[in-house]
Amino acid sequence: MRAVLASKRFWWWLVFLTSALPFVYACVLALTSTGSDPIKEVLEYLGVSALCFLLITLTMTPIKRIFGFAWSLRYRRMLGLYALFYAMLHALIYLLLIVDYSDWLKELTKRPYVLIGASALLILLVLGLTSPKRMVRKLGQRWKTVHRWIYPAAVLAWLHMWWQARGGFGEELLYGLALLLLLGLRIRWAQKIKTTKSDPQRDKAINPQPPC
Amino acid sequence: MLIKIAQSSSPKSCEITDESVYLNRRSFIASTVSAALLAGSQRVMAAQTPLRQTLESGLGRVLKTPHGQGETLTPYENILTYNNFYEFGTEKSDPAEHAHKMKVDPWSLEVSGHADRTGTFALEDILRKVTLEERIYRLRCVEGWSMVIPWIGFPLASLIKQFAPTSKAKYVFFETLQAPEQMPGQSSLFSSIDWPYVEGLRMDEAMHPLTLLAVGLYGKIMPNQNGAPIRLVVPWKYGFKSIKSIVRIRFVEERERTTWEKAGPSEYGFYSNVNPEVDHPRWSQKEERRLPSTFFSPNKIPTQMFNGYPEVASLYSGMNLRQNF
Repeated sequence: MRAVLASKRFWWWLVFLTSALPFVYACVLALTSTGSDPIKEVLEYLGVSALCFLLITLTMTPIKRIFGFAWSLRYRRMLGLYALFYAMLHALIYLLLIVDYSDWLKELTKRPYVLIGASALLILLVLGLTSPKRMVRKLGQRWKTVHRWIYPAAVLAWLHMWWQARGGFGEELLYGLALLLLLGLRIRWAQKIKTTKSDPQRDKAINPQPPC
Repeated sequence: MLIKIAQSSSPKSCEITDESVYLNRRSFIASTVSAALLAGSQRVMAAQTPLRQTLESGLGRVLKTPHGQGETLTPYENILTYNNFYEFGTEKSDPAEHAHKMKVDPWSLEVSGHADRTGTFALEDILRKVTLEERIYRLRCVEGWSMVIPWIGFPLASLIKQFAPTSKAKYVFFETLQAPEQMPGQSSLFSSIDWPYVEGLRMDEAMHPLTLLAVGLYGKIMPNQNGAPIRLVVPWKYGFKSIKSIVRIRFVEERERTTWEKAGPSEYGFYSNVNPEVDHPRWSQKEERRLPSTFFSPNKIPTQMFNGYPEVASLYSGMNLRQNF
């Protein structure tokens, strides 16, 4: 048992399978929902799942920096890819089951929140394609710059949700506050680096990990 | 000083029956029994309130009408569980979960403004003067879904005539119950809606024979989540115009702003006629999902002008419906 708990493979599978649960739930919802409008239900559920995984991905670096748990960075890529996965399913259902294919372009250009959501998805797609180890090596220092785009992607994803609020905005506010906290941490860290820039030795010690 | 120590067997003073009661024990028993009987009969009467009695006797002789014959009805279950009634929360399932907290009996309507007969009227007194009829209407929600519902009600015109509005009455406005202790959505911190819910119609729209006040559906008394005990149904307008659980009716000269106009003036106009040509700024109105839909059959159908009630077109002749959305 101790050997199992100590094995990296065990934890990897645990995170992998747990993260797949929203997909299982979405399938169950699609197949068995007794609700009146299961398409809308699944669509919204997948969208919220994508945003949640973006936020969880953004939590991994703070966990490492604040609590010193290095394991968190091991799952960062997987969680980010799950965010992409759920965002793609969300977009696919929207395109195939909600809007008529003849209206795809019209919807994209006429509705700002659709354009915002599509932009977020596009960024995530680029991040996903540049996430394999081979690409990380190939891009070198530039990889960091490219993957900083997760910040605007998360902001756009949240804005996409906020824009669609009708009548109430409690849930949207909650996600907004979480995002604000996570991005606020990055801003604070960036300021710290700036103020200690005069001491390159210290800078290195504070910021040994690529930001993400 | 003499201290009397009571024996444990001797009765406490409060346990001693008063002599006068003892002497009149027969009449005491008789009055107690009759009081109990009276309380019992009152309980029986409480179950059958004047409003409930009027509603039930009305539902017993509903006039059948040709409205909507041949349409496929949305199942009762879906009509009960998929509702927009933000007073109970913004989720579709919130009204079914919370609406039982709303007290719908007794109910009265407060009528004010430019009319000869104003004041507060018990709902049962209003209902005694009308004939209930069944009408099957399509309901198109502004969100892009629709249902087909067999309403039980009576034309709004027949109610308005009871109050004899004057020539100054150009519009009629309605208000929903405001009772945060019964309606959890009204006390939500994150609501962007200004309660109470207000809706209105132009007088000619209100008097149109299609405009209905509904007190039931599927042959039964109106469920709370669908706007009990009395709600408006304007089938050629988006669903939010059909205000629920009405407590106030005002006859006014100047148009007032409705709840959704205040919440989103660029998205929800006063008229809000169903119109496939005029998009909601955030989505298209060209099509609708007729509920219940399933994941594998979205049940998308084209939306019809005036929701398929062309007889109302003359109300808007000469009006630019893109501007007056």
